Amino acid sequence: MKFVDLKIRNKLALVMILFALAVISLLSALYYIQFKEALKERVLLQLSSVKQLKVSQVRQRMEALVFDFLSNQVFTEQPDNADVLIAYGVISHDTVVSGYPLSYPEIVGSVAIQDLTPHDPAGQITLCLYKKEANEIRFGIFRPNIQSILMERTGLGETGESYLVGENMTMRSSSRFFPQRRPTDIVVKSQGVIDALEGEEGYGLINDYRGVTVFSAYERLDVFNLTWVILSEIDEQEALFPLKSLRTNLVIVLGIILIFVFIASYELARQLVKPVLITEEQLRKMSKGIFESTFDVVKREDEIGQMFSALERLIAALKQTVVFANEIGSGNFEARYDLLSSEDKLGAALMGMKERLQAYQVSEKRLKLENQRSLISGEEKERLRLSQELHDGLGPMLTILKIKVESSTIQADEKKELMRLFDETLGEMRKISNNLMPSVLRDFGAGEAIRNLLKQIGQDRLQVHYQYDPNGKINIPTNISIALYRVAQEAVNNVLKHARASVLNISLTEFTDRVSLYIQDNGQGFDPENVTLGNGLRNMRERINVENGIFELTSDSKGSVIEVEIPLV
Amino acid sequence: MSKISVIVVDDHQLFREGVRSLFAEDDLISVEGEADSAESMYEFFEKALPEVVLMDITMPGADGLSIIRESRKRFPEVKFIVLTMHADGQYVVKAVRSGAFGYLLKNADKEELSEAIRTVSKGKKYFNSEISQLMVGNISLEGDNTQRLSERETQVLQLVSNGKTTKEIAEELFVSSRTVETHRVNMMKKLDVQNTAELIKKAVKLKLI
Repeated sequence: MKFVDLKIRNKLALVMILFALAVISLLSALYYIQFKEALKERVLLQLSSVKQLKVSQVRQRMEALVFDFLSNQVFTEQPDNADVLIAYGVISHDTVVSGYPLSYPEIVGSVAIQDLTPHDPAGQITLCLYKKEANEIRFGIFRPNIQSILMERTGLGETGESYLVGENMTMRSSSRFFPQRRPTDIVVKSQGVIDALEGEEGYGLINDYRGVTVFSAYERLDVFNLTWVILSEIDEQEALFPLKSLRTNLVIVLGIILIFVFIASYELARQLVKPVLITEEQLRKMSKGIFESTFDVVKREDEIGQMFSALERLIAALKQTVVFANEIGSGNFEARYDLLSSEDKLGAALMGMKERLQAYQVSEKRLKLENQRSLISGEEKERLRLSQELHDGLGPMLTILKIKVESSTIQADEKKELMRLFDETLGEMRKISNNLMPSVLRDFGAGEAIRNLLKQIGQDRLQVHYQYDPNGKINIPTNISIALYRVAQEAVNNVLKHARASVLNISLTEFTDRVSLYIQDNGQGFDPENVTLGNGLRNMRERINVENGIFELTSDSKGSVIEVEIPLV
Repeated sequence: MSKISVIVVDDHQLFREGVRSLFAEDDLISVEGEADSAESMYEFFEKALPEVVLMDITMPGADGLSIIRESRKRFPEVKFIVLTMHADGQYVVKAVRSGAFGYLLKNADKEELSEAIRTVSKGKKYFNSEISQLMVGNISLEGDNTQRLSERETQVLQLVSNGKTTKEIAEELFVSSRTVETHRVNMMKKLDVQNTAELIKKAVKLKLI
């Protein structure tokens, strides 16, 4: 799996852990090394000072011994078993033998010292001191308690020790680790001893006589003509024990820090990833066309907060667009829309669509109106033509026929019968013509035509009031007159047929700029939404619409009212 | 005693001939001529003025009533009887206003026709009971109402000054509220005022109410 394909939270955790690991490791290593150096230095310094102390103590003891020997005092602290000399078969222990020199060394100065320890069966430090006295050489064998000096190990822990090594590279003082062995049997050929014998005082990390790595401070100890090497040593392992616990602590600290970093990075990643997931979910929804914002926006000032507010703006903008599209879709062309920016192509397209639809609607409306108008005017023209044919064509023919009959010489009673028939026929024809299109309507307008219409009703049960307020200064176009008359005709017919009214009030008022018709009855009313005479109502409404007028109908159980107003342009 | 001279103006030739034949044997009335337009009628007038003209009012290209009006100015002594198919009061009223002396429907019989001619020739008006009935309620008041309140407006103003609301006035006068409002606005225009209070004040001042 590639790194880029990892989930962000894992990625982040990984990066942070790696980073923390690197930094902590580096710091730890630096600290560890520095600490180790400091520790080593301290250990060596300590060893050096211990060694220095031992050196001075040993010197003191030796000088005291030499002083005592020279001042010829009685040796109270003589070794009780000078096994060496006994082994030599010469003397007893701790005696100063005068004039009895053994193979003694050359005495430079006042005194010479011979190291007899290798000859001591117990391996204790045994020294033979010589001094020249007149013609004789005096000597004494001593076992100075140097071991006790070296045994004092304060500050040297579990493995620290100080010991003396002779010129032949065997030990002089007893070993801490092999107390049962004779020191002179223990060969010490360590680097420290070699260096010290060459006269170099020093310290360092070396392998001791056991083959164990130790910190060692060493120095050649020259007392009179005696050459020893003194070493103060401590096992590296013990000396560096704080380093080990430091390492453990560092590992624990590292672990805690890593856990903390892991948790922190996980939490941080969660903080970062959560909004990303929310955004992703929101975008997925939006890609499905759902523009509801479902996330709770926590007010944040950081980039994520900015992203959320941008997302919100996006949703709001899309919502606005959707609402607008909806409005257009449902035919509301009054809907307003502000372009989101000059680049808002979708918005601009919708606006364009709206305008085209609007134009289309307007032209369709106009077309429909024109259609209705031409239908109505065609019908009215046809009615007029028929009415005129009857009235002015057939009528005169009938009257001529009547005159002919009248001036003929048929019998009087027969003539009378025929005259009556002529009158009836003419009356019928007039009625038909009138129904088709009253000539009064064309010649005197709707006001008079309606007056005639109401006159013809002639019902006892229905009380009709008609108020016509003409305006002599205007000419109402014939099509408007016809529309008003047809509405009145239909309304009156409805009242007569359905309303069971006792009062019918009609008023027609002509103003300079409009004409208004008001028809009111006190009948039983009807439901305008659901009536069998819907056709008639629709016709009325249509006729007024065609003339750009207002048609209002209200009806309840107390009666119905029709209000019409047509502008005169 | 000479016969009453009559001419018939009608676009139907058969009708003219019919009328002529009706009075062919008549002792009192003589149909002197026929015309089918104003021009031919005036041509006839040039030769001899008739006493009575029987006039159809709907002819192609000519309105009989305008002919009567014009002719009454030029030849006041000629009397017109409208002879028409129109049986509506409005036409009767208009005919009277135009100066016609009589109004008959074309299905009138000879008796009636000759009575009308005789009556009119004496300078009297002739309208039989049927025609008189048609006229009832049709004499509308077409006065000069320039800047004067119409009867209806006065009514509305009266009701307004009585403190009635537009709706109440509309109900009382059985017109729409919109109509009442229009009346009110028109009155304010006519009396050159800005609001209803000023309207009433001015109306009182002018003694309109």
